[in-house]
Amino acid sequence: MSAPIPSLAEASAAIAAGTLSPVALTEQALARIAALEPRLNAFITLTADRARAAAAAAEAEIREGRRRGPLHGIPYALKDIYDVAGIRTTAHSRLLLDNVAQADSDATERLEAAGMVLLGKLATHEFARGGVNDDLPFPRAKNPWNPACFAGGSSSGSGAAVASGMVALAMGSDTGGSIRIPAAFCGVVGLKPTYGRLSRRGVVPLSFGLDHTGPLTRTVEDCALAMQALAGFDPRDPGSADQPVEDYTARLREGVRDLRIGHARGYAVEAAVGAEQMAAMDAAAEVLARLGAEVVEVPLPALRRFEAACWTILHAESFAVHQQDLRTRPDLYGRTLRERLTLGAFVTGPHYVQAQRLRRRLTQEVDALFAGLDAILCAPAHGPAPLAAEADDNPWRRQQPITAAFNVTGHPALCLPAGFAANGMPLSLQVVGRSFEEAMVLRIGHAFEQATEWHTLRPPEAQA
Amino acid sequence: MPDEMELDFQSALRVAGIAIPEDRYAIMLEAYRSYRAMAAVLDEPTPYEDEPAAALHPARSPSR
Repeated sequence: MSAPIPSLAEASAAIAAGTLSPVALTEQALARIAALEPRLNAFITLTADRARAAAAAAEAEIREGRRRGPLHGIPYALKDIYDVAGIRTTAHSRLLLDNVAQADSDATERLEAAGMVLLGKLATHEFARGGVNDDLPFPRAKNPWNPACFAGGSSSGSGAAVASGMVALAMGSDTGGSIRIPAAFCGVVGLKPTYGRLSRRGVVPLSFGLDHTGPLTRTVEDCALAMQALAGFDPRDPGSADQPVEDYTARLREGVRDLRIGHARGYAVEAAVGAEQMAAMDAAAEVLARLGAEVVEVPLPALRRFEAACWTILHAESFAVHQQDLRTRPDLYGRTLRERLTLGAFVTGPHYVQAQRLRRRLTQEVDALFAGLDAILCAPAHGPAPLAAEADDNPWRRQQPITAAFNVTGHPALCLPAGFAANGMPLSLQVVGRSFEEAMVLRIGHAFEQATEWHTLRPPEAQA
Repeated sequence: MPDEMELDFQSALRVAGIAIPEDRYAIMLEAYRSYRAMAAVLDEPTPYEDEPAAALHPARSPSR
């Protein structure tokens, strides 16, 4: 089988040195996809011809001394809710099987401008909100660590494609945890940036007030490289923030000495996080303390307050997006999504406003914690990936994703590998930062990553 | 005999124009009860001056 493709940083250095060509790298990625895809179902649409043409063009530009930057000539893939002009965006749904995009999303524009090579569009949960086991027009993406396990959602194809070494960068979206949960369950890095840091233009919406776009990568350094290309104000996205863009790599290697990092252990206890995930968080806190950070336990606001704000807003806004189709052609939806969207019919006007008021208050309360902290560690999930057959596809889930707290507050949150459960599935660490300070979150993540070996381990399905 | 919450459930569906298949009625009603329990937090008193997070931030209008 073709070897896993190298990280963005490794590929970038090799292309710069002239020891790797974009054409060879793209062929390697396509060969790996061909070998693994029948088992993993990460892709909905493969754009092989386009990729080969783009790689050849990149190679010619670089040879002529016109290298655009560190990502030039490196393949990437998009969750199939991002628009690419001339290619269909399905959102993994029967409703959009013939939906050919007229223009690129902002993320597509930026990554193409950086010279990256699009490999294709990736599986998702239907409209980034549906279930795992529904009857949909495309199969569900499988977890490379164990195909019987849930890959996490909704950016399931993004997690599977990066974990299996098909691609070094896949874009995801996160409304309640949909970048961070697949990153956690597939053992890769996923960043939900600050709300408004990355544009959502040209991305199929789920909930306008909670939707975030962001990258999934194999390493924290790769995440920083991707953010440098992706971040920036977009006046055509009403939620985009006109804030200066940091240099995400400049201070990546400065370590954590003398940083003050909170550990939201009580929040995890309140959320009934399992023993293995709790142990991984405790071990991560010890690693950071050993590296010189001061780690202190901090209380987050009560989970029930985050949940009431998040799910009221999400239900109401997603229902508003889909109400017409729910009325007129409900049979085109998968059962799980149809039922989850219907919950929005039950949100009253006053409750929606109250949820927005609570959201502002929760954001202020978390910001008050940051007055004395550089970051907060927080469990990203209740435990490792469950079996897909046991995934909760009910309209009301037994446990809501605990990642959603930071969709409510908008703070940036990074998930990265932090161990393994007894069943061999990855565990993860979540690092939450101040708004628009992704560079600090990445710096802490990089220090932890360099002090541990979790990110170097490959899933059995993806070993060369 | 439906209780008050079930009547609310039926009413919300009617207003929204959404039909639920008979075999999924019970599970959707249970989901509705669970949501109402979660949303009870939102009925707690809020100071008059607390503005919603989604308040409009007007930008300058384009020049002629």
